[in-house]
This record gives sequence, C-alpha cells and structure tokens, in this order.
Amino acid sequence: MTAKRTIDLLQGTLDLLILRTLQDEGKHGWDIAERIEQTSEHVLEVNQGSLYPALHRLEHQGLIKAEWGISELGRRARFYQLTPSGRKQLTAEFEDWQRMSAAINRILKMA
Amino acid sequence: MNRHDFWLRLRALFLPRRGEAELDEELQFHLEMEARKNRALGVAENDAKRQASLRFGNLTAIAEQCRDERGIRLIDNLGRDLRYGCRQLRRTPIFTLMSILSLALGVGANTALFAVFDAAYLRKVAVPQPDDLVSFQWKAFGESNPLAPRRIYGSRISTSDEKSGKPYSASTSFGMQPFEALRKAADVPAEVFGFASFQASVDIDGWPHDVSAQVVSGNYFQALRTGTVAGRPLEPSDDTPVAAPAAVISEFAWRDLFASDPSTIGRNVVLNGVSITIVGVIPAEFQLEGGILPAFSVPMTHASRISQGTFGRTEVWWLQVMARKAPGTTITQVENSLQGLFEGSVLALRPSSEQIRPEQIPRLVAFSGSRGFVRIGGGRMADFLLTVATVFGFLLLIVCLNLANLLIARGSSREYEVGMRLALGASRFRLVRQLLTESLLLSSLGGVAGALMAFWGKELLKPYLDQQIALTMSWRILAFNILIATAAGLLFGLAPALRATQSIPIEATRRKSGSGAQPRALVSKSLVVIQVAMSVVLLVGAALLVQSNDNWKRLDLGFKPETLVTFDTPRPSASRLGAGTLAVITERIRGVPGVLGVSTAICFPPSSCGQGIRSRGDDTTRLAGARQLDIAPTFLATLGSSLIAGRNFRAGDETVVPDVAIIDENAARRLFPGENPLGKQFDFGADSDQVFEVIGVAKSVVFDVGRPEIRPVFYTLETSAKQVDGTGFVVRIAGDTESVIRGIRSAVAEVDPSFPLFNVTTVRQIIERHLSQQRQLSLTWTFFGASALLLTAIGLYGLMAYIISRRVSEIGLRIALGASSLSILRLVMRQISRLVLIGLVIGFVASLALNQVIRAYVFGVDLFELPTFIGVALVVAAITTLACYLPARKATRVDPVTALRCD
Repeated sequence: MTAKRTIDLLQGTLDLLILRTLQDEGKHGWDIAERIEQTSEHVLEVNQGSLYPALHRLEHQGLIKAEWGISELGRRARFYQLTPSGRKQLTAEFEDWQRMSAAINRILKMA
Repeated sequence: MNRHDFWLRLRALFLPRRGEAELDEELQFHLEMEARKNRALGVAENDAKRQASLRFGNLTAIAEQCRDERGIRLIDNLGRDLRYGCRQLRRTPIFTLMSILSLALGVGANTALFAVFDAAYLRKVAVPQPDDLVSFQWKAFGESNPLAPRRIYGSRISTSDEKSGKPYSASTSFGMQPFEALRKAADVPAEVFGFASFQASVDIDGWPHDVSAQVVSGNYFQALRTGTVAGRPLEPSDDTPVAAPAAVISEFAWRDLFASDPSTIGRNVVLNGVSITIVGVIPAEFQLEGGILPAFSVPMTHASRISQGTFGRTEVWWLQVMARKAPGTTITQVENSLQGLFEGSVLALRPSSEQIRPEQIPRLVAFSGSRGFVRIGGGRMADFLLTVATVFGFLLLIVCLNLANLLIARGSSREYEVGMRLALGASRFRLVRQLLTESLLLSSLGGVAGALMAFWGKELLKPYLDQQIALTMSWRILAFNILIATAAGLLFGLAPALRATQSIPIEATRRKSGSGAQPRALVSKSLVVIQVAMSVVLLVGAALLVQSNDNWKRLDLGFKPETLVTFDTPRPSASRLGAGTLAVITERIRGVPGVLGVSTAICFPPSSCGQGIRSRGDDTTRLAGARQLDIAPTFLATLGSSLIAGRNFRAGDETVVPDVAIIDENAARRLFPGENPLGKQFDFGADSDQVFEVIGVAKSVVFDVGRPEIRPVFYTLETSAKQVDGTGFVVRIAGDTESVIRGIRSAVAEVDPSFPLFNVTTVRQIIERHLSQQRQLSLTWTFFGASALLLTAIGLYGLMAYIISRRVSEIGLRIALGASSLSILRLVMRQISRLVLIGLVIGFVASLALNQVIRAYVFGVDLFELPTFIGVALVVAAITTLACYLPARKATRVDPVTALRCD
C-alpha cells in the first residue's frame, strides 16, 4: 500500500473542522475543503456533497456568517466567517473533543 | 428557530430568486476552483471539468440538500407546489369540477350537521358566567320504585347502573313540591329556578299562531341574567297569583310576530285562552335548551291555566330545574346542600303508611349547565343527530374513496412525469408532498364550496328539527369545516400519492404510458368494493323507509280518521259550571248539525299514556308496553270500532271491584294467548296493586302512527275524578269539517264563552303530521343513496379508464389478431363485474347490521326483505355496468396501429 488510506469523517466532526478552519480568517467553501484535506495530509477527505449543506446549516445556526467577496479567480465567491457565538461553540466543542479523544486513547492503549 | 434563522428564512421567502441564484453561483464557483486545481495538476482541459463534476457528485441533489438545511424549502416549495397544483387542476377541468362538487356535498352536509350539533350541545349559554349554571336530574333505584313519580312530562330513562347493575329510572322532570323545597331553601349557595316548555296558540289581532312557550319561575331571568332587548325581564313579583299576567317574548318572536315594533311592549295578547301583557323582549342569542328559546315565557303561577292542565298537577312531574351557583362553589357542594331537602320533599309526598326502604329514596344529581339544559337520554335531537351523522359520515367517506380512485387512475397517466422526476433525483417524500399539496388544494376548494353549501344546507335541515333552532356560523363550525376538508384531502390524497411514487424510475420512463406489467390495482379494487357496498347500505335503508311509509299509508287504522274531530279541554273547574261542564258540553255538541257522535277520552292522540301490563300473577314474562285510554262508554261507537266479545262499560262500573277494562285484540293475543280473555285479570306488574278484570274485547285500532310498532291498547272507564285536569273530545262528523267545527265552537261558547278548546283538528291531520316526518327521513336517505350511487359510478368510471389505459397495447394486439368488439368488452368488464358482485354481497350483509339504526323509524318492514335486496341489486348493477361500459366501449375502438406504436 503506497497511497495513504483516506478516512471518512466521523459523524458530527465536519462541523467542528469547519469551525476550526475558519478560526483565523474567512474562507470560501472550496478553500475550506482544501484546507482540511491538506492539513490532514490527505488522510481526511471532505465529501463535498455534505460540505455545502453543512455550511448552510451552520449559517442558519448563527455560528458562521457569509459574505460575498472577490476570490483569487477574480470573481464573486461566498466567504464564510466565524461569528462570536461560533467562536464560543468552537471552544466548547474543541474541549469536548479533547476529552473524548483522550478518553478513547486511554481505553485503546490499555495494557 | 434563532434570530439568524428567522432573518434568513424571511429573506428566502421574499427574495427566493436571489437565494437560488446565489446558491447556484456558490456551487459553480466550487466546481470552477476544482477544475482549476485539476488543470494545475496537469489534467487536460475537458477532463479537468469532468473530474471536478464527478468528484462533486449530483449537483441538483446537493443544491436540494442545501435548501433543506436552509429550511426555506418548506415555504418555497409550498408556493411552487400550489402553483403547480393549480396548473394541474386547470388542465383537467371536468375532473376538478366533479371533485369539488362531490367534496362540497360531503363536507357541506357534515358542516351543516355540525352547525346543528354546535347550536344544540356545544355553545355555552349566552349569559354572564355561564359556568356557574347547574342542571339537575333525579335518580331512583328499583324496578318499580313507589317513590319515583308515576307520570312524567318530558323524558325518563330506565336503565341499570354501570357498576352495580342495579336498575334505576332517571329524569330531569321534577314535581312542584320538590322544586319549591329547593327554591325556598335558605343557606344554599345556589339560586334555583325552574321552567317547562309547551306548545301554545296565541291570538294576535284576532289571528291564531302556533308558538312555542314556556312557564318559568319568577327568578328565572334574574338567575340567568339574560338581559333584554326591550322592556324588562320577568321578575319574582310577576310570579304571584295576584300579579297581572305578564310575558316576555324572544327576539325571534318579536321580529316574526310583531315586526320588531317597539310598541309591542305593553300589548295584550291571548295565549292559550289567557290574556297576558308583553313586558319585554329577550335577546336572540340566549337559548337554554338545544339552541331554542321559546317564543313566549310566562310566570309559573299561571302554569296550570295556560298549559291546559298539563302543568301544575301534583302527580305529574313536569318541571325542569336548574340553578346558578354562587361563584367559587362547586357543583358537588350545591348537590350536597340540596340533597336532604330534595329527599325530604319526596318522602313528604308519600302516605306515611307505605313501607319505604332507604335505598328507594330518589337522589338528586347535579351537573354542569354551562352549555345549557340537556334532556336526559338526549331526547329526539340526539337520535336525529346520530342517524343523520351516520348517513353524512358515509357520504363523505364515499366522496373520499371515490376521489382516491380517480387520483389513482390519473396517477397512472402521470407515471412518466413522476418517474422522470424520481430519476432526476427528487426525493419520494418531496413528490408525495407535492401530490398531497394538490389533493389538499382540491379539498380546500371543496371545503370552501362545502361551507357555502352548509350555509344553505342548514336551512334544509331545519324541517327535521322539532323547533326553530338558532343556527349561527361560529369559529367552531368554521374550524370543523377546515378540519374535515383537510382530513378528507389527506384521506383521499395519501394512498394515490404513495402509489404514484412507488414506481421504479427506469421502468416508468422507459415505458412511457401503460402496458407491460399488470397494474397494482389492489387498493382501487378494494375501494370499489367498499363503495358499492356503501351505496347498497344507503339504498337498502332508503328502500325500507319508503316501504315503511307505504305501509303506513296503506295501514287499516281500524277507524276513519278523516271525519273524526278531536280537541282538548282545560279542567272543568276552570268553568263557572264546575264539575258538570263536560257533560253539558257533550250534550250540546251532540245537537250540532253534522255531528254523528260525541265521546270523551283521556290520553287520546296526540297525547299518549303508556303502561306496562301482564296477565295477573304472571311473573315470568316481561310487561307488554300498552297504551291506556280512559274512555266514556260512547267512545268505541264514536271511533267506529266495535266489541268482538264481552260487553261495553255501563253505569255502575265505576264502583265495581276490581276495576273493569276492555282490551283490544292485540292485547288479548299478548296477555292471554289461546284463552278466552273475558273474566281474566291483568295488572301493572308486581309492584303495583291495581288489578283490572277484562269485560270486553274490542277490534284493534291503531293510535300509534309513526312509531315502529303498534302497542296493545286497553280501555278503562273515564270517571269524573279522572277528568279533573280536562279531557279530550272525539267527535264523529259528516259534511264540511270547517263548518261543523265552527258549530262545535259556538255550541261550547253558548255554555261558557270563556271555556277554551285547544288543538282542534281532525285525527287525519294528527296522523299526517307524524307521517310527514317519516317522509322527510326517507327522502333524505333516498337522496343520499342516489348521491352515493352516482359517486360510485364516477369512481368506477375512473378505475375502468385506468385499467384500460394500462392494457391499451394488449387490446390493440388482440384487435389486430382479430378479436371481436364483444370479446374485448367481455375481457375488460369481467374484472370489474366481479368486484361489483363482491360489493353487493358485502353491502347486503352490512345493511343487515346497519339497518338497526333505522329500526326506530320503520314500520311493518322486515329488515331482511328479499325483494328489496333484489331491487337494489338490480339498480346498482345497472348503474355500475353503465359506468364501466362507457370507458370499455372506448377500448373496443382502440386503433391497433396506434396502440402498438406506443411502446
């Protein structure tokens, strides 16, 4: 096996990843997918069919907001940004994730 | 829903196109970026875009999911579905019109019925704080409880306790003494008032009018706080023997009888022979019982005089009792505080010699009166509503099944469209919702038409109601209308929508329209069977009612009702001649030209007195419900009946012990089968010590016209003691009825001008009144039976058309191979004929059970009558065959070339 095996995203983790990706600056949809894949060194592959519904869902939950801006292609693109409540949500979910993964790790590494 | 959500939805609602365009742009941008990346990785231009698309997946489906997430689909799609639905309905105008019309029939009929139900039972009494009103009834345990009143004006139920199984009788009618005891009670947190309604005749400017009337206790209007439109309400001071007779009228009566003339207040009218002054008008919204406010209300102190002796008698319990409880008290508190007073007053009515067991003492039961006074056992209104609701419920069900059938048939022609949309990625849920929107659109239109029809239809229901009922549209009725229209829409829309979207897209698009696999017609087939069965049930019911009417018309009453005049008199003590009045009047009437015979009888129609009788000492059989008449010796001759055996009453019989009685053949058969009844004795059951000896047997006559069965009759001697409350006159006449009646009136006026005669009429007219109600009932059933059959025919037509559309190519092939028209017809009709046949059989079985509902209305009709069933079967078969034949004939004209080219 030369190629790295890609892993489907765990249920519910896509939202967390989107929020984390948007933490520092606003991005458009494609950029978010790219960033996740690159940062995970192509271990995680974002199913693009679920990316946009997730973005729209988060927008409706008020965790992110969308604005039209000019992209690197020179045409209009929809840029997403964290809202204050999105930031809070990210912190909370991040902590949850930390605790959960630590717990799972402890169990998996049991002697 | 949070703030963002709300604004985004609002934006989507008002700027739908912009949202759509933006979504599109966003997704396209993604593809562009992906393609650019591919190009950068060295993929050829064409492949770059293709790979981007492949990786992305189904663009339309994803866009749809995004709309889902945005939650705008609901609103957005609703509008789109409605527009689409409208287009579909416009495209098939005949289907649309038929559907709306049949829905209007079903929904309208039920809404109208609900309006009656609402007026009678649901509406709260239109007075301040209606929740403080309390209604009363009494309950007496034991089969023949000596403490229970023997005679009731109103209704009484005899049943057994649900828990203990003990028999008891109960009624809302109270005697005068118990009522007075309750009303005068001090330290009770309730103001007790009483009332009793009756039919009266009022003379206004010399013209008689039949009106409804009630006597009320003086505190009635005070306790209810009805208010007035004009004048003043009755007050306790009006309810004293010395007060000038006063009356208040309803707003309806004010409008109909006095043209809402303000000078009506202070006017004198003659009500049932008593001159009274109108002092006030009660608002139309106020009704205490079944949506009805009697036209005239008069103080109870005049009860006996103005009701011709019906009210005010001590042995008859005639008064309805309610109360307004003090705010903050409970109904149970009111009941407890009055219980002792009621029981004491009942005990005081019995002679002390009689042995009373404590459990025999009748108990007072209080319940809420906020929705007005409800008669025990529901009365005629409840029977009426139940019967009509059964019919109307059936009707609506048939309408729904029928539309479901048509929609399924139509669904088959839209299979291609549905299949195509499924193939393009539309979800089944989405399609079902769109199809449901169409049927709901249809049912809403039907509901609106139904509401209009109900407005008109409730007028049609009025003849079936005993009295004018105040039917007004209310939010409850509107809500009911919307509810059943929506329920109907779901009912007839769901199955077709689910079926239409079941198809496998590939097959549907490939097949285009019909052929190949057999239709999955199971649902439609069972619908047809049910419809045929329902039509049969309704038509059989209608046929039985029509036959019953016919039986009444042909029935030999045993006497000639056309030339028999009858009227009632008040108590003889009302006349200055006193006890001898009736004898004097009888002699005078005998002398009137055109009078062939005169007699008197108590409980002669339209009144009726019932009594359970049995052969003396026979404890094994049930009491036979018999009709009792107290007659003068001349009665049988005047009636035109005669004795078959034994003798008539004669002077001195009144002192004979035991009492003597004449029974009719019917009673003789029931009590003494196969025996000579003369000299035999009968009684009223173990609990009564009255015994009668049979001295004669009379030819049977029928008094109970319009009832489901003819009761046995026994005659007892009318004595002057029994006449204290007045009696009925029976006069056999010849010649012109009007002029003879005028002669009788003036003969009576010569004796005593102030002595009134009530309800002067011929027995024929009394009978006609009973029969017209029966006729209306059978008309209703016939109308709905015919409607149901018509709707079934529409449904069958739809199914047939569907089946044929599925088999077009097969039929074309057969024709091409030389099949004759007849064999094609046989081919397509065979399937449906079997269904109709099954429906007929089920219908007949069901009608045997459901005819129990109309048992109370039919006379002399065997509920299983073969000729009726055969007749109905022939009619249904003929109509359904015609409905199938029309589309089937089209099948025989299929052009083989066109049909085969379809594939």
